Amino acid sequence: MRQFLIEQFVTSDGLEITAIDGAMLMEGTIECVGGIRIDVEKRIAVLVEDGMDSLVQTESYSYNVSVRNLGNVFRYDSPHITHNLFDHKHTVDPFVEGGEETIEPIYDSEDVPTLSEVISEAREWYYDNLDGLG
Amino acid sequence: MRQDERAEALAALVAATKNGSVKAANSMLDARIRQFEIRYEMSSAELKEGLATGDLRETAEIARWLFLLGTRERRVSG
Repeated sequence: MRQFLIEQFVTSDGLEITAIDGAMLMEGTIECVGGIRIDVEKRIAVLVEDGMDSLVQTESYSYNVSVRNLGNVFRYDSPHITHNLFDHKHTVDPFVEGGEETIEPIYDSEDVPTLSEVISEAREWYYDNLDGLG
Repeated sequence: MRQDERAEALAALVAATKNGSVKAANSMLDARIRQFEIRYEMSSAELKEGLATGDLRETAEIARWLFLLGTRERRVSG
Protein backbone atom coordinates (compact mmCIF):
# COMPACT_ATOMS: atom_id res chain seq x y z
CA MET A 1 0.00 0.00 0.00
CA ARG A 2 2.82 2.33 0.92
CA GLN A 3 4.30 1.94 -2.53
CA PHE A 4 1.00 2.87 -4.18
CA LEU A 5 0.72 5.92 -1.92
CA ILE A 6 4.25 6.95 -2.78
CA GLU A 7 3.50 6.56 -6.48
CA GLN A 8 0.40 8.72 -5.82
CA PHE A 9 -2.02 6.33 -7.50
CA VAL A 10 -3.71 5.70 -4.15
CA THR A 11 -4.85 8.99 -2.64
CA SER A 12 -6.36 7.68 0.57
CA ASP A 13 -6.44 4.37 2.40
CA GLY A 14 -9.66 3.93 4.35
CA LEU A 15 -9.17 0.31 5.35
CA GLU A 16 -9.99 -0.74 8.89
CA ILE A 17 -9.35 -4.04 10.60
CA THR A 18 -11.68 -5.48 13.23
CA ALA A 19 -11.26 -8.64 15.30
CA ILE A 20 -14.07 -11.19 15.09
CA ASP A 21 -14.17 -14.81 16.17
CA GLY A 22 -10.91 -16.41 15.10
CA ALA A 23 -10.29 -13.93 12.32
CA MET A 24 -9.83 -10.33 11.32
CA LEU A 25 -12.19 -8.42 9.11
CA MET A 26 -10.53 -5.91 6.78
CA GLU A 27 -12.98 -3.47 5.24
CA GLY A 28 -13.12 -0.09 3.71
CA THR A 29 -12.47 1.92 0.62
CA ILE A 30 -9.25 2.83 -1.11
CA GLU A 31 -9.58 6.05 -3.09
CA CYS A 32 -7.37 6.42 -6.14
CA VAL A 33 -6.73 9.02 -8.80
CA GLY A 34 -9.27 9.51 -11.55
CA GLY A 35 -12.20 8.81 -9.23
CA ILE A 36 -11.27 5.16 -9.01
CA ARG A 37 -12.46 3.48 -5.88
CA ILE A 38 -11.65 0.04 -4.53
CA ASP A 39 -14.11 -1.38 -2.00
CA VAL A 40 -12.52 -4.09 0.09
CA GLU A 41 -14.09 -6.81 2.22
CA LYS A 42 -11.70 -9.47 3.44
CA ARG A 43 -11.79 -12.11 6.14
CA ILE A 44 -8.33 -13.07 7.35
CA ALA A 45 -7.94 -16.13 9.52
CA VAL A 46 -5.22 -16.21 12.13
CA LEU A 47 -3.53 -19.59 11.76
CA VAL A 48 -0.62 -19.08 14.15
CA GLU A 49 -0.62 -16.23 16.62
CA ASP A 50 2.78 -14.57 16.89
CA GLY A 51 2.35 -10.79 17.00
CA MET A 52 3.74 -9.17 13.86
CA ASP A 53 4.90 -12.58 12.65
CA SER A 54 1.48 -14.20 12.98
CA LEU A 55 0.63 -16.59 10.18
CA VAL A 56 -2.55 -15.44 8.52
CA GLN A 57 -4.56 -16.54 5.52
CA THR A 58 -7.30 -14.86 3.50
CA GLU A 59 -10.44 -16.95 3.82
CA SER A 60 -12.87 -14.85 1.85
CA TYR A 61 -12.79 -11.55 -0.01
CA SER A 62 -14.53 -9.12 -2.28
CA TYR A 63 -12.56 -6.45 -4.11
CA ASN A 64 -14.75 -4.12 -6.17
CA VAL A 65 -13.23 -1.52 -8.47
CA SER A 66 -15.46 1.27 -9.70
CA VAL A 67 -15.15 4.72 -11.21
CA ARG A 68 -17.04 7.70 -9.87
CA ASN A 69 -19.96 8.70 -12.13
CA LEU A 70 -19.36 5.68 -14.37
CA GLY A 71 -19.87 2.56 -12.34
CA ASN A 72 -18.18 -0.77 -11.78
CA VAL A 73 -15.14 -1.90 -13.71
CA PHE A 74 -14.30 -5.25 -12.17
CA ARG A 75 -14.76 -7.22 -8.98
CA TYR A 76 -13.02 -10.28 -7.60
CA ASP A 77 -15.09 -12.44 -5.24
CA SER A 78 -14.37 -15.57 -3.29
CA PRO A 79 -16.99 -18.34 -3.59
CA HIS A 80 -20.47 -17.22 -2.57
CA ILE A 81 -22.78 -19.25 -0.39
CA THR A 82 -25.58 -19.31 -2.96
CA HIS A 83 -24.10 -19.24 -6.46
CA ASN A 84 -20.73 -18.85 -8.20
CA LEU A 85 -19.34 -21.39 -5.78
CA PHE A 86 -15.76 -20.69 -6.86
CA ASP A 87 -13.38 -17.75 -6.96
CA HIS A 88 -14.44 -15.53 -9.83
CA LYS A 89 -14.12 -12.15 -11.49
CA HIS A 90 -16.89 -9.88 -12.71
CA THR A 91 -15.99 -7.49 -15.52
CA VAL A 92 -18.03 -4.76 -17.15
CA ASP A 93 -17.20 -1.94 -19.53
CA PRO A 94 -18.24 1.23 -17.67
CA PHE A 95 -18.19 3.23 -20.92
CA VAL A 96 -21.00 1.14 -22.39
CA GLU A 97 -24.40 2.01 -20.96
CA GLY A 98 -26.18 -1.14 -19.91
CA GLY A 99 -23.12 -3.10 -20.87
CA GLU A 100 -23.13 -6.80 -20.20
CA GLU A 101 -21.21 -8.15 -17.28
CA THR A 102 -18.98 -11.15 -17.78
CA ILE A 103 -18.13 -13.59 -15.03
CA GLU A 104 -14.90 -15.50 -15.26
CA PRO A 105 -14.21 -18.39 -12.90
CA ILE A 106 -10.79 -18.66 -11.30
CA TYR A 107 -10.07 -22.32 -10.81
CA ASP A 108 -6.42 -22.12 -9.84
CA SER A 109 -5.94 -20.64 -6.37
CA GLU A 110 -2.59 -19.28 -7.56
CA ASP A 111 -4.53 -16.96 -9.86
CA VAL A 112 -6.54 -15.41 -7.04
CA PRO A 113 -5.17 -11.88 -6.74
CA THR A 114 -3.88 -10.28 -3.60
CA LEU A 115 -5.14 -6.82 -2.71
CA SER A 116 -1.90 -5.33 -4.02
CA GLU A 117 -2.44 -7.08 -7.33
CA VAL A 118 -5.97 -5.70 -7.50
CA ILE A 119 -4.65 -2.18 -6.91
CA SER A 120 -2.05 -2.76 -9.63
CA GLU A 121 -4.73 -3.95 -12.01
CA ALA A 122 -6.87 -0.90 -11.22
CA ARG A 123 -3.88 1.31 -11.87
CA GLU A 124 -3.25 -0.42 -15.20
CA TRP A 125 -6.91 0.02 -16.15
CA TYR A 126 -6.69 3.69 -15.26
CA TYR A 127 -3.73 4.37 -17.49
CA ASP A 128 -5.18 2.26 -20.31
CA ASN A 129 -8.40 4.28 -20.20
CA LEU A 130 -7.08 7.74 -19.41
CA ASP A 131 -8.51 9.20 -22.60
CA GLY A 132 -11.99 7.90 -21.90
CA LEU A 133 -11.94 9.24 -18.36
CA GLY A 134 -11.39 12.75 -19.67
CA MET B 1 2.01 5.20 13.35
CA ARG B 2 5.51 4.09 14.26
CA GLN B 3 6.63 0.57 13.50
CA ASP B 4 6.57 -0.50 17.16
CA GLU B 5 3.10 1.00 17.59
CA ARG B 6 1.91 -0.91 14.55
CA ALA B 7 3.42 -4.11 15.92
CA GLU B 8 1.65 -3.58 19.22
CA ALA B 9 -1.68 -2.78 17.59
CA LEU B 10 -1.47 -5.82 15.32
CA ALA B 11 -0.51 -8.11 18.20
CA ALA B 12 -3.49 -6.86 20.19
CA LEU B 13 -5.78 -7.36 17.22
CA VAL B 14 -4.54 -10.90 16.64
CA ALA B 15 -4.94 -11.71 20.33
CA ALA B 16 -8.47 -10.32 20.28
CA THR B 17 -9.45 -12.81 17.58
CA LYS B 18 -8.68 -15.63 19.98
CA ASN B 19 -9.60 -14.42 23.43
CA GLY B 20 -13.34 -14.14 22.93
CA SER B 21 -13.58 -10.40 23.54
CA VAL B 22 -15.27 -9.75 20.22
CA LYS B 23 -18.92 -9.49 21.19
CA ALA B 24 -19.17 -5.93 19.97
CA ALA B 25 -17.63 -6.81 16.62
CA ASN B 26 -20.02 -9.72 16.14
CA SER B 27 -22.96 -7.50 17.01
CA MET B 28 -21.63 -5.07 14.42
CA LEU B 29 -21.69 -7.87 11.85
CA ASP B 30 -25.31 -8.68 12.66
CA ALA B 31 -26.28 -5.00 12.57
CA ARG B 32 -24.70 -4.48 9.14
CA ILE B 33 -26.54 -7.49 7.74
CA ARG B 34 -29.72 -6.12 9.20
CA GLN B 35 -29.08 -2.78 7.44
CA PHE B 36 -29.00 -4.58 4.10
CA GLU B 37 -32.21 -6.43 4.93
CA ILE B 38 -33.95 -3.15 5.76
CA ARG B 39 -32.58 -1.38 2.67
CA TYR B 40 -33.60 -4.16 0.31
CA GLU B 41 -36.77 -4.99 2.21
CA MET B 42 -36.04 -8.68 2.27
CA SER B 43 -34.53 -11.19 4.64
CA SER B 44 -31.14 -12.74 4.04
CA ALA B 45 -32.95 -16.04 3.44
CA GLU B 46 -34.99 -14.40 0.68
CA LEU B 47 -31.83 -12.95 -0.81
CA LYS B 48 -30.18 -16.36 -0.89
CA GLU B 49 -33.23 -17.94 -2.47
CA GLY B 50 -33.49 -15.20 -5.08
CA LEU B 51 -29.85 -15.58 -6.06
CA ALA B 52 -30.03 -19.35 -6.15
CA THR B 53 -33.06 -19.28 -8.48
CA GLY B 54 -31.66 -16.46 -10.60
CA ASP B 55 -34.50 -14.11 -9.74
CA LEU B 56 -32.02 -11.72 -8.19
CA ARG B 57 -28.86 -10.47 -9.82
CA GLU B 58 -25.65 -10.06 -7.91
CA THR B 59 -24.52 -6.45 -7.69
CA ALA B 60 -21.51 -5.04 -5.88
CA GLU B 61 -23.70 -4.25 -2.86
CA ILE B 62 -25.22 -7.70 -2.84
CA ALA B 63 -21.74 -9.18 -3.02
CA ARG B 64 -20.92 -7.26 0.15
CA TRP B 65 -24.11 -8.55 1.81
CA LEU B 66 -23.17 -12.11 0.81
CA PHE B 67 -19.68 -11.59 2.16
CA LEU B 68 -21.09 -10.59 5.56
CA LEU B 69 -23.44 -13.57 5.53
CA GLY B 70 -20.59 -15.90 4.71
CA THR B 71 -18.49 -14.39 7.47
CA ARG B 72 -21.32 -14.84 9.96
CA GLU B 73 -21.85 -18.45 8.91
CA ARG B 74 -18.17 -19.22 9.38
CA ARG B 75 -18.41 -17.70 12.85
CA VAL B 76 -21.35 -19.90 13.81
CA SER B 77 -19.79 -23.06 12.44
CA GLY B 78 -16.47 -22.16 14.10
